[in-house]
Amino acid sequence: MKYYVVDMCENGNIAVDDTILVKGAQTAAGSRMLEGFKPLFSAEAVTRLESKGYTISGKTNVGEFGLDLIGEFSYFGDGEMKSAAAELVKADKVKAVLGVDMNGSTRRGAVLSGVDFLKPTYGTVSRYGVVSCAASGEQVGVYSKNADGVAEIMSVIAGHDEKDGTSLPEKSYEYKTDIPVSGKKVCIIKELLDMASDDVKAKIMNFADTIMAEGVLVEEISSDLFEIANTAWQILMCAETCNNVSRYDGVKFGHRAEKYRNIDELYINSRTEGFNFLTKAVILYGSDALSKNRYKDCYDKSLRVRRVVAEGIAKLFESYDAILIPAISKTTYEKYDISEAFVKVFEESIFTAVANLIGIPAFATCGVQLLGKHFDESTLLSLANCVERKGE
Amino acid sequence: MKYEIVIGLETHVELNTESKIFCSCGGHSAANEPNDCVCPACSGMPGMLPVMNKKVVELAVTAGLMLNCNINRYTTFDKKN
Repeated sequence: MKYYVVDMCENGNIAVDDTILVKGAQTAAGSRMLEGFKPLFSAEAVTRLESKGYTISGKTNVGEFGLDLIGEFSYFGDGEMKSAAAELVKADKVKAVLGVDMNGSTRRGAVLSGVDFLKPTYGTVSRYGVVSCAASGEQVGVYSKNADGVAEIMSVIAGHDEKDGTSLPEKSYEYKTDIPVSGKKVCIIKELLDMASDDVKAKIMNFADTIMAEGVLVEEISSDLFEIANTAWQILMCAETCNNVSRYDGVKFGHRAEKYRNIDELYINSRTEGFNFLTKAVILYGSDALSKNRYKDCYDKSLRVRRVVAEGIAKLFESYDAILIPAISKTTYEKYDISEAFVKVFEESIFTAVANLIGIPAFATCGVQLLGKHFDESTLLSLANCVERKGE
Repeated sequence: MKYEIVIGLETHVELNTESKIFCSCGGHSAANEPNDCVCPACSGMPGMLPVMNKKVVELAVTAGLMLNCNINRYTTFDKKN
């Protein structure tokens, strides 16, 4: 499998995905539109890792702007139905990979490859130097082989950055993998479990059995919040992406069409050639959601739904410490045509969207996904750690 | 038909702040050479984020109060790129 888009250092111990800026190395976010763009600065997360002695090995392949299922639709990729970053970690080539979780592609990729990915609480890791798509829900996270690896890298990259206006004021955060889990309460969402295949269900049940043996109380409950959260997030994500990619017009950086007769054709031809079908679908859907006739019913409504979901999930967390759900509906994906991508991503995002919508941490591990309260990554890491230790 | 007259004013004012409105680049007075006061953030490079200058908000609110205007509790920005 083609892991890297850009090779940087053979002995590097950390890779970063292609949506994260590394000074001087092409950062294209999987898109032809940014082919050849070499940033003048590194992302804050990368700078922090380098200052602590980590070396960047290269840039791993991602799907165009991170919009697809797991990275299958990249201009630079080989179309394999696997995540380059997750496979790199699985093959023990690096200690960890930084990835951007915008619509769940990182979590899906991690679970498919059997490695861990943490999407931390929104605002804990600086987004300075991330090729932005959906600014209100995307967050830099970490792929690693186990909870300890994730915690180690998170403690380096998390903390306030004045260069990011959405960065929270705390200077640093603690990530523990060994807090006592006995007595914790975890719920499984029936509706999401019903949508998953039998082998995914088996993984959830296996995870539940293992933590129950450690004294965790696991209950199955019913909730319709996840479905409305997904609809709202897909609308917001498309709207924000449509805004954020509007700067790619073929004039300032990246790809420019060779043939054009006037400025309109320059924009049109550059974008036609530069973006793939999925990105175009997202742009059109986003423009529609933001249009005068639909703004109130689509965009504005989704912002209200975001608050309703946040309140609903907060209520759930009054009774439970974590939510145990699938990250994907099956254990393998087959190749498919890009014309089906928009709908496929929408369907699969029902498991992942809520974490992006309301900024809670989500940990993909052992074939399952754990959601937690804001800033409560340690509970998720510790629960996963119990199961990972058992598996060894 | 009866019309209600609503008049909006858009005012462009150069403020005497130490830095620009969305990044830490020096303002007009800090420029010595061409391209002195430009950075990846104000040129809208991929991956860069605007950070609001507090002083600008302070000055805008002060001007509003001086002119006896209503000050909105909630204000949003639309940045071009």
